[in-house]
Amino acid sequence: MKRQPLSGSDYFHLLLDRKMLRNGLVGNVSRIHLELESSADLNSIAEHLCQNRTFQSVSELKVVHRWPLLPVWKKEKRERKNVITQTGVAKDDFESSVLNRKVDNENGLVFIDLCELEDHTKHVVISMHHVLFDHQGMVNFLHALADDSKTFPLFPESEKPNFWRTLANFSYMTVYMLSRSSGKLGTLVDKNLKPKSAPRFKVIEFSEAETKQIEQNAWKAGSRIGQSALYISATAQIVKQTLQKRNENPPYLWFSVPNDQRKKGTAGHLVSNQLSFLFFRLKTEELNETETAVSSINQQLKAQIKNRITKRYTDLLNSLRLMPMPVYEAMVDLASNGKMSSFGFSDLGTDKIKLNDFLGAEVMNTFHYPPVPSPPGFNVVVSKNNGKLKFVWAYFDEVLSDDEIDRMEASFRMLPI
Amino acid sequence: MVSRDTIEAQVSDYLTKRFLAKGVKLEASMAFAELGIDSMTVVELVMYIEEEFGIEIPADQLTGDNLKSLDSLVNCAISNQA
Repeated sequence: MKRQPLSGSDYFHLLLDRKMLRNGLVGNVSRIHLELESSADLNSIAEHLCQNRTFQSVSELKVVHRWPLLPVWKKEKRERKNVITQTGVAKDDFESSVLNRKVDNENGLVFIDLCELEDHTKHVVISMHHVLFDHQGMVNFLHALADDSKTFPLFPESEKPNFWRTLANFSYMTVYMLSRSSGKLGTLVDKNLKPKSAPRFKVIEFSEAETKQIEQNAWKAGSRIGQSALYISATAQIVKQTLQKRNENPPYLWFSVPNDQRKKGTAGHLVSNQLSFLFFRLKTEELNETETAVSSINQQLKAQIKNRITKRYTDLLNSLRLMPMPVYEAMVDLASNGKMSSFGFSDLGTDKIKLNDFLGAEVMNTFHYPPVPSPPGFNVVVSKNNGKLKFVWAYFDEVLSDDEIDRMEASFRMLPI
Repeated sequence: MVSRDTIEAQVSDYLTKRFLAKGVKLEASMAFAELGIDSMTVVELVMYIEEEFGIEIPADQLTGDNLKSLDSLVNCAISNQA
């Protein structure tokens, strides 16, 4: 295999993984959960998966890092196939072990569980380390699993970096990140808390009619191109309300939003994240009204586009691959006083995961469970499928109680969302 | 006044070089969604038009219909040219 270095965002995801493992979590793992028709034949699906070339190829990948060289991808033959079929699984066990399955560099960065629960419902859970895939990579992988004839290039085309431009962007962004000092950001979790429970997921789905109404509300609130600004402001508002209920009054919330840097017009490659980030700071008083929050997000977004922040940040992330992990971690902690961000937020777009059939079995429902780094301990992903808007809130019991989650949901539904 | 053809050619060139994968042929009538062009990219295109041609598209015209394709975006820009 040709020498293939990790991208800067791959290395950043390894950093998040390191922090998550140290805090007692299973790591930086995304999961796709497919609920299949009850007549699905799980053994036949397992056989197909074990013969799938894309699955085989991705299963053999591991990260090798011999500092001061760049971290690289390496292929290593594995004896064991990372597919497990189980029957009679209790719902609690499914949630605490299958939806919390650890995947790592030693045992394979991807794992597939095929489960028949006690109630005879059938489920596929694909657990993938975030170092492997960004969202588009994950979607490509899912389609390659469902149909072996679909193939994608394993890695992106390499680009030759311009040394001086990278150095200039590295310097600019280092100052930018440190000068925006996010140390006083409001967060739902104590930075030293080590959650012991498995992550919890709350799915909030809106009907087609509700989704249309929300999109009209987004326009009225000033969210012009796309609705993300409204969704972000609604999320920030409920985080602020929860903090205030706890008698905490942080001066602002601070968070980053991933930005897809893949070239458009094709499905692209499978492995390696091509992500950058945008950064937002919302003062507590800006969160009193949705319109004010949306307007602030719009202004910050425009300023960052003008300053080419996403491109510059990509160069910063790429340069940081040269740092040993502990130094990298110390730099990130310095900028945020170890709190990382107030919450996580990703907008996964419209109809990205559209799968009616998985290896001959009808797909009844699809869920995407994001990783839950702690801090911040609360991560939100939004997507739109078949005209319906779906929010997934991922959190820990130690971070948000059932009462708080219920209150947050009630407030969320009352916002113009 | 900049001609429609000039605006379309320059925006098309910017979009192709900056955002599209090698070998992808852009047609002005193609829906942005079909090309996987997200809202962030469209914001960048609107800002490019503003900076390059001094044409400001008012916020109330940033509708889904006006931002559907290169064709509709350029039409919207032309209608706002002073």
